Amino acid sequence: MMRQILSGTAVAALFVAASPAIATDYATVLRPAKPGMPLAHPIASDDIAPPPFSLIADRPVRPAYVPGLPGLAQGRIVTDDFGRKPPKFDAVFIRKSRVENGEVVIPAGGLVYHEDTWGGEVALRGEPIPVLGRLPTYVDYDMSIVVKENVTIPAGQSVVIGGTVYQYYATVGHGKTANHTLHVKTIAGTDWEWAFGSPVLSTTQTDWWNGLAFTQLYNQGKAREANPKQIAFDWLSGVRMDRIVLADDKVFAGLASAGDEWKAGRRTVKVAAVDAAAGTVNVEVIEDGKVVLAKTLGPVQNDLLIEDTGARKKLVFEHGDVIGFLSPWPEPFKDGKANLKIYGKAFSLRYGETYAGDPRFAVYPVGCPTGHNFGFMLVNKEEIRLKPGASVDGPEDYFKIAVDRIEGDKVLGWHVADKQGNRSANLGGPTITNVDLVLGQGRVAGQAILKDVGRQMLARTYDNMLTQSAPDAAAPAASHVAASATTAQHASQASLSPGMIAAFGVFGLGIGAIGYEVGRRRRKA
Amino acid sequence: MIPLRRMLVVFGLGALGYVVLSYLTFRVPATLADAELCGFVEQDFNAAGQIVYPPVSAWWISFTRLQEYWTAISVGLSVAFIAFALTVGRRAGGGTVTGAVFGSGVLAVSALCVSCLAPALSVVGLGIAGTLLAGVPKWLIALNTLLLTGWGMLFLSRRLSACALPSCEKAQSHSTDELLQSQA
Repeated sequence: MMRQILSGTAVAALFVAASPAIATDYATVLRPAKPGMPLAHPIASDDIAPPPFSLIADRPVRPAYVPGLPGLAQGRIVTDDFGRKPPKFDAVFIRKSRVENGEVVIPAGGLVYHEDTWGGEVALRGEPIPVLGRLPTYVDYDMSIVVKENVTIPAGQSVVIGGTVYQYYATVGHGKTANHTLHVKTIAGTDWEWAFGSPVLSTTQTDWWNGLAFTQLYNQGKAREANPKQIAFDWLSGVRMDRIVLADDKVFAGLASAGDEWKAGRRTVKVAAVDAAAGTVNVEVIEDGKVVLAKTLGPVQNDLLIEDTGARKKLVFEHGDVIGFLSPWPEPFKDGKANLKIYGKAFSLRYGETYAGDPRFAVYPVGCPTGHNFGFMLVNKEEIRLKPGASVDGPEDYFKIAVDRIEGDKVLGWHVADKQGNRSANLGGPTITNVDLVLGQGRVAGQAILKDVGRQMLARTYDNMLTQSAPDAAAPAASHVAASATTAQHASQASLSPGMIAAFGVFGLGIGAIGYEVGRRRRKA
Repeated sequence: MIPLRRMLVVFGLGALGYVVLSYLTFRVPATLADAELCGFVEQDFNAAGQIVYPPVSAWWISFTRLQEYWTAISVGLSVAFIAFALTVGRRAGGGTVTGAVFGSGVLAVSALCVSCLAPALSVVGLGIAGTLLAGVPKWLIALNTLLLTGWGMLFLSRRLSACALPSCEKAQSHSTDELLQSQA
């Protein structure tokens, strides 16, 4: 009974701690960039569970590292409408995998595809974002700020607030004083240190730091206690990228007058009126002859763009799979015409929802606290079990994880392959007990996660090199040997092996012997 | 006189026998490693790690991808030649026939050593031959078998046509008698 009460209390406490703040209006508590400036994003009214294994402790364990494959591009340059060229990266992560009853098990949330970027993905600028081989245009987004009250982070551990992960990373003493450092990351693992530094809290080093409050754009917090054991926050906020909108078709980009119209699928977009003096343009979306959306776009609020939600939404119209906006650049109006961009085949990637292209996966856009997007994650929804010889396809078959050979609790052979069938080296070996993986060279796979698991990855790679190169290695990855043997067979067919020399010798002897017999018969005849 | 019709029948039976044996010993591979040895590739597996073809189709795909039809031809040729050699029997000389049959048997086994039955043969110690012949294409083994069995047939038929046995025996005994008498 007492246990039930205690567990009930614990659940209630967790519930309270996990619920978004309601009583306090945190829109008035959080600090904007400067006095008088509004918060760029609204305070979230709901809490959405982050992807599984978002905490630092859930990072891959002793993972294999693959820099990339031909079909999993690294540093792919895209160009937006204004000539900016951010590199894009495909990444694949596997965490929490294990061997169980002769099978590899990857739990729900353990397999992640991550579209990563070296720079923030900015709305309204015509930036292409790779989506599993396609290259749609990033148009608009919805971001919110999640606030939680009474959050405690034990030393070394982490919590997730919205799409943001806080880790209590270090305490550094100085005489009788001390400071306490937080690492701030995204759910995908993007470490914001390169952009914003790391928040430091201290009550004792009063002239060095700003007490127990910190501000990292819209990731903010106010602690009541910070000591070497834990930091206890009154409240802690973190941004969450709720939705990004992309579009496959570019319908129109240019100056438009009243009466201009364009077909986008079964819908028509029409300019109803242009008022350059007022800085507005009226657009209509027509479906089956009826106006289903009429919106006045503008005026442009240049001081707040691009991140401010209100200012941006004033420029954007969206209905079904049609989306467009009054472009502020290089100028919203010229010669009495409006500078419009219109897109068709628009689709949304919503935080925590099923990915429409492959319902086995849930999608999580990744947000930067300034309001830019930082790629998106596709995460498996169901547990994956792989027997030797089995494989699992990534989202839309974009890549494949294949297990070749298991012996006891050791994965002797496994690999990752891209859609075209290009395989990684054998990632298994006599000391490998999981299929945890880091693939890629982006902000996470090639940078941030190295801080967490880089040493393990290097040690694993070297250990596996040693065991696989040892002359008496106990059949390291027999499957690979088998594959190599197949290759060797084809290769030896092309060259003169001893067997081939002998075969050609027999061939010559046979020809000679038959020639002799035929010749002898002819002589007799 | 070469019994061509009988040899064709035996050739067919030998080749068909190999095909049947190949089918009976075929097991759908459970792992990618085994599958690669049978001529399958990753694309032949589904997401659950199973071969996507039904057993008969899987065997036929393996049979054709590994060009096992050349092995069937080699085995058929060897068996047909063995039948021919046994038919001519002692008329061509016991030692010669024994050698021909043995040689043809070696040809048949060497063809089998690089076939789908190779793993079973390696159990009984014939894996080395398979290793030696691993790089030799099966069409070349079949061609060599054709040449050697063809030569064997020409050789044995020459032996037969050079000396029709009944008259030869008489002639031999007659001349021997004469020789014995002259010596006396």
